Amino acid sequence: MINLAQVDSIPVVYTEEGPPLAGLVFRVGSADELLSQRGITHLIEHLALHRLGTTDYHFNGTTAPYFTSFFTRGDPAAVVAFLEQVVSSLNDLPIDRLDIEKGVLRTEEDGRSISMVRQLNLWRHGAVGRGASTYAELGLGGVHPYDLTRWVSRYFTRQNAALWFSGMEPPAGLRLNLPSGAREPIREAVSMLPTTPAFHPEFPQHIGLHGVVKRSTAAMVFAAVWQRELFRRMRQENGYCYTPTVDYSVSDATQAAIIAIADIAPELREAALGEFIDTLASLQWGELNPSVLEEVKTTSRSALTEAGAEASRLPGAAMDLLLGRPIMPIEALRAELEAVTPADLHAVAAEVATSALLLTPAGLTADWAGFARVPDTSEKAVTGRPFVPINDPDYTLVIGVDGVSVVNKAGPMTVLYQDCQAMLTRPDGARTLIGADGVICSIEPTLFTLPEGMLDTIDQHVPPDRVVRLPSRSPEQIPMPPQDRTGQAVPSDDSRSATEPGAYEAPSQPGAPVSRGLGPVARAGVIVAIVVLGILTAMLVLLTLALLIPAPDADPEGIVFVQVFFSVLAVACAGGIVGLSFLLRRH
Amino acid sequence: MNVSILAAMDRYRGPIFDEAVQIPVVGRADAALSANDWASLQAAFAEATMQSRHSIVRRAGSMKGSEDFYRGILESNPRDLLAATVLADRYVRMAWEARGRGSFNTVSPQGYATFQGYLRTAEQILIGVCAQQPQFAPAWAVRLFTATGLSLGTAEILRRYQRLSSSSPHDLHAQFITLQDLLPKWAGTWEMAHDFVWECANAAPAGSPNAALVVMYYLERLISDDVSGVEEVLRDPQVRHEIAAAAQRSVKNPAFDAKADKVFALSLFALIFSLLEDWPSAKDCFTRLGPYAVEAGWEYFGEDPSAVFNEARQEAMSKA
Repeated sequence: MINLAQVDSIPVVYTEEGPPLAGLVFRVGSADELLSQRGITHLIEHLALHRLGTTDYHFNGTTAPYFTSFFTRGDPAAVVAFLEQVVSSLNDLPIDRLDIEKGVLRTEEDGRSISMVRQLNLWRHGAVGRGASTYAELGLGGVHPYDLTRWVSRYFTRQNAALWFSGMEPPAGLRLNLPSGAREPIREAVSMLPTTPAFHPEFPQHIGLHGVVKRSTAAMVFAAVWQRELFRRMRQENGYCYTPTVDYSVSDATQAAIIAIADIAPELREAALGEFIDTLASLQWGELNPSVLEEVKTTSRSALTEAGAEASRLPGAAMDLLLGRPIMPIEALRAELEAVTPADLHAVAAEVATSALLLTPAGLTADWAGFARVPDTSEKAVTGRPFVPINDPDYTLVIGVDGVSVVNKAGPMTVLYQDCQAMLTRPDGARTLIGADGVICSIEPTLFTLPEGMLDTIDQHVPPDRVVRLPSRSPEQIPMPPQDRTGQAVPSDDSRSATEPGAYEAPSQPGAPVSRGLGPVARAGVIVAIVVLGILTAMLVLLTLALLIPAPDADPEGIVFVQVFFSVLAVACAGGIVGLSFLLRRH
Repeated sequence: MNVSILAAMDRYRGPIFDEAVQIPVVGRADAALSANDWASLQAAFAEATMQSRHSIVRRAGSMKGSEDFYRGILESNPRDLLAATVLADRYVRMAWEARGRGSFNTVSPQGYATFQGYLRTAEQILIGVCAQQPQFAPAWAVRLFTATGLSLGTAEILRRYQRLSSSSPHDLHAQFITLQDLLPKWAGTWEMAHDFVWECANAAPAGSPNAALVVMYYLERLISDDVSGVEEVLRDPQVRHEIAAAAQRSVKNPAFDAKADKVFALSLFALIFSLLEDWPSAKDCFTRLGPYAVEAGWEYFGEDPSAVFNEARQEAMSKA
């Protein structure tokens, strides 16, 4: 059974059975960070473990959205040494390592790919809390030793920590001199979705669904049942997808997220989406095959009865302590598992269906199944001064006293200063504002004729703690207006999005519209064609006019025929010019 | 009476297209609907064949103003899947009424929005029905219509057809709708439609009416804008060969007479044999049809399908 104890007034859960393991958990994680501070918790976790780098301990640390954990394996003496070293490092971070650890983290970061889980959290939560945790570690560059100390003294405290031990009692003589503070509850997750169920087309080869449910054993069982059903119906029976997965993950003391992901065969994506939606509907309304529920119960039961079952619950139990949830005896969990009925699963399915965020395969909708499309654009543009990029009438930048908007054909993208979670700045003047809902507005001053001091207006309104200073870019990374046919400068980069955040490679942002134009080469080709056609037209007109001068021995009918012929050619050339100009203007 | 008098009478009378007259149980269902007698409708539905069940649903859906009645039944019993299905079919009909039958560019934005709205309502009802009872083929059949109107794509249409056929194999009605969905006029291609009709024809037991879908496929080709003329298609030896093969699998197969749902196949073969000027075969089909026929196909060759039918029959009878 799981025992409770205290070490230096830090709550402890332990079992004497199981392998000799220990962990120290803090109720802080990436979801607690402001977007402009992204990475600070992870950086602290790395720094706290640095001094242990040369020892023989088996240890590690993890920074999750809501919890930061340090754990080790070893005899009680080794455990004591490890935990005391971590705490001592937290109290006195090796600041001299700051720049090196930042580099390590950036390398780790580069390995992260855009994933369905990140996109689901981004669309649901925007750039706040759980949503912010999906972003790159933007804050690393600007972290000051002072910021670290403040973060540690707020979150890495005795009141915000819990310990767990398996295979041992809390080792005698363990002293953890953590500073005093307060328990930090998880901030309630904000949803950026105007309504649910909602959908947005996203990846070409994946379907993802994010549902919010009450934490329960039934919900955990539901996730396993859903995964089995998806596997049977989408893989085995129809070959619509390869490996469907369904995950249950705790969001806070009362809520959990259920995330289903299916990697689909692109040529069957319409059918895959249909079957995916029908599978969830079957779980909500249909008759459940009793053997599926029984199979899931059998698997879960063995996890609750096998040797070491109690020990493996310890990290979760320590987290539950931090969330103020009671530690359930394993017998009670078993009883809960046995009590799960098909009706309970129907109820969970209904919760998932009504709260669902569905990312459909690119190009496919789900409005037909009752999902509302998540808007791609902001509700409105700010009032302010409009600026059109040099020689690019496709979009307008509006700088106002309340915020910034980028307006194109699709609609406005707006970041209000008060909602701005991060403003990335470059020494060349580029500004990228990221709003709470994840909307991005980028300003490349080289593409506009901005009056003196316009950027200062923005800087004055954005709170200083939201500013992220990025290093300077090489000249070729700075977008420059290319030459247009009159020799004036026009914007260069054909694929640059109006909202692309400079050189910061963000995960594909919700609602970031991409304005595409003709490439510079194609543009030049079109211009050359216009000029050639122009010369041709002029020559043909001149020839036609020249033939009006009567020649004494000419055949009058023949001349009329030639005149008509040249006129038709001239009109055709002129038409070509109009068409090409239209092409040039449209892009 | 001689033959010409008979023919004259036939031309005057016309064939009987109405399934309520052809099939007694469909007639009883119609009567029950007219009397708002849900219990009798359920009883008729229960004893009907699958093809007649589809007819009952479609006829119920086409009855103007009946949606309130179905909603009432559904409110008193939310688990009444038949009521949910006919209500959904009613919404599909209302959707098409709002849209009009013309090509896409003849539809007003308002009309299109209403069309989509009704279809979504129908679809969402049917998602629930098919979740509760995945074996309920009539609901899947209506979902073939919603899939087309909502532009859900051929892969989804075929998935729905497969779900349906797992409980109702060789379902002629479902195959007929699926064929329509797989044609280029909707989301498909000629190749896709051609493969589909022959798969259906070959999969059904010998003597089944399903091979008549091959005829339907060629009738669609005849009237499509993709071909320059009826003559061209009809002269193609490949077409003649396929029609003959399809007839051998169905109407000319010794097992055919023992099968149900004969009218659809005989009616289509009577038409195609007339077009091919194979008068003895056409006459045989007309004779076996008696007074009955289906409108499908005939309506493509004239405003009044009865007149087209009668003219063809008269010609077959006199020239064979």
